[in-house]
Amino acid sequence: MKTYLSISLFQKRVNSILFRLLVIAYGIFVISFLKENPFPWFVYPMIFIFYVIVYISVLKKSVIRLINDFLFIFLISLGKDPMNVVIFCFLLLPIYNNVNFSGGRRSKLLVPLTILVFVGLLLFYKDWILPDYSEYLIVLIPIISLSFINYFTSLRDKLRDFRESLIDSVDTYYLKNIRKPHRVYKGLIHSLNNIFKSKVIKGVVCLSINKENNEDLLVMNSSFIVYGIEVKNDLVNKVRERKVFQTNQIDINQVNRSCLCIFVKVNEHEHIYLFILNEPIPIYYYLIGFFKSLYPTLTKISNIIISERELQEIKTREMSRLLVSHVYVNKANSTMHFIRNRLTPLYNLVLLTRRYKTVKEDEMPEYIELLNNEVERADNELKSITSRANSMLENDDNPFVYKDLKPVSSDKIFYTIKRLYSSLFPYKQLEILQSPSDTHKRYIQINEEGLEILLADWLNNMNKYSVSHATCAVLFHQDYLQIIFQNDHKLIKEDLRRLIEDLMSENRNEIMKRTTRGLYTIKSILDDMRVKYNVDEKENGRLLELNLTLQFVSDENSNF
Amino acid sequence: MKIAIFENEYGSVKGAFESANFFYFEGKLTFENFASSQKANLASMSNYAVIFVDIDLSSKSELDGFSLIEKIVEINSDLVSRIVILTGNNRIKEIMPKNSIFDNIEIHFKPTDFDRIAKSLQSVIDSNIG
Repeated sequence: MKTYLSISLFQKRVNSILFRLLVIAYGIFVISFLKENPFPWFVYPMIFIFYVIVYISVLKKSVIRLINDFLFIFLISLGKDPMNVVIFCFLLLPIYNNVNFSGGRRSKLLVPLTILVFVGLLLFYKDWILPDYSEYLIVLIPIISLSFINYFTSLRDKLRDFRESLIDSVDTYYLKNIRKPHRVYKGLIHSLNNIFKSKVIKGVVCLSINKENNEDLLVMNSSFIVYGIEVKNDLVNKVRERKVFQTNQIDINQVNRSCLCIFVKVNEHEHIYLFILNEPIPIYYYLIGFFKSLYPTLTKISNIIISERELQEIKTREMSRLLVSHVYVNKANSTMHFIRNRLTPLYNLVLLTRRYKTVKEDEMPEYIELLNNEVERADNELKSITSRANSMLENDDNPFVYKDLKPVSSDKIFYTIKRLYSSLFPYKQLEILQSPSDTHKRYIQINEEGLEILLADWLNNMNKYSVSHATCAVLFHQDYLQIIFQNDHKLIKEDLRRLIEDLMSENRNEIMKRTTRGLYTIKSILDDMRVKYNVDEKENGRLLELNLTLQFVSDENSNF
Repeated sequence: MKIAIFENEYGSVKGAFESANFFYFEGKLTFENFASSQKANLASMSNYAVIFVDIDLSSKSELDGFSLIEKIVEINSDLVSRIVILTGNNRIKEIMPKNSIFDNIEIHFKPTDFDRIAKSLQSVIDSNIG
């Protein structure tokens, strides 16, 4: 059950018990102070006990509970003048309690039962002689007035529940329908039709006002498929001015529709929500400003739509960035194929040369011609291989080079380390061995993407290869930020020594030959970003340590 | 003996074929290069003892090479044993169309040399004589 409903229900139950206690107390007062009790004294305790037993045994049947209340009031008040203010107020208690009512049928019974009990008491009091009824018609005024007040109060409660249910239906979206924002309307339509007690709302369309051209309306999303929408009058200005209004000048999917338009503005985004109506909305809802209660929900939906759009944009941007890398990798791949395909004359030339001694004297001229032709071809192929390799290597479009450095604040770098470390080691704390000595902002010349890949790569390796010890410590020095990664490992001494040697080596090609691609990437990025680093063993080879030194620069044009 | 070579960059393999002819076949082979399938009379393919078909890297010509083989075999199914695929693509099996005719066709990977060319030539010639 929804939280707000369960709280409300619990509150109603407590109120119900309190109400019965009040009725019992009132009853005791009535029989004690208004002495015209027609029954012998011992009957009254029995009435009380009967009332309580019936109440407990029919807890879930609200109509019987109500009849029980009236029966109790009737029996207690019997023989007393119902026009006595104390008795009359006693009679009205169930109407006052109406706010706590949960059943619809029960509300309808309230006024007839009150009148019935009043008439019964009156007749008993007057010894069954029919009095002049016109004298008593006046009591209808307080009864009906109270009922009206109760009706509107309960309506207010209903609206509050409705608002809560709307918010709840939007929140559920985050749990169930993420990435399908149009599904958010299902709950909204359901809640609205519930409150109108008929299927007034057929569907919802969210339009966005194009800022560059005010006449232009874009369909953001909708509860059903919208192929085309045509707005006849100056809807945009009207809706901006009036915020909420009803119109039948909108064609959706070439069908004229009567719509309720609600204007919602979130930051610079302007949205118009069209509620397509099956039948007119009762005027009462306009009078009480019912549609204002929709604003928080619609604003929430607008926020969802806007953030979904932004996510889409980020995705598209990432895709195009990926495409550049994709093109580059493909180009590199086809260059390698090109080179391999051109190697046949060279292979053949080597073999021809090797067979030189097997050629007979008389075949020599033909052989020499073959050889010369192949030398020509091999020479041509070498030239084309070299030029293709040059064009690949010299073009400055390698997306995997992280030489473009920008000043980034040390705070941002700290958060990046923290984020990556906690995602890979969720149960470990990043150690801050030395905090910054003042609040002065410090910047580091770095390539953010390169740093992120480097840290993620190293931490991943730590996660993969460590046995029981993996730590990351940060130290803010006066001039530089130091990051120390330590982990234990299963490597034998010789392998550890080679790993350290490879990482510290100046010759990248050697590493490429010997070790895995991961190490090569880490080393390339470190070198590209000109980061000072040291890899070493600690505790007599038990631990492997990477120590990064990120120098501070004085630059305020950071992007943090 | 006539050898057909469907290869648009014949220059890169010409030397290997000629050297193979010189060292292993006493110059008895004659090579005919077709830069594209359109330039050959596919009905007369039975005149050739071995048919080399180059399958390039770009997907379009891959289909060209494969469909050329399919067409040759369609005209004369006996020729399937005379065909050798010449390619620089070591993942060719992954892109091969699912057609049983490709199951037994020899694949000759580039870069190559005359020893290997001669071996391919010999094995096809032997299997057809035998």
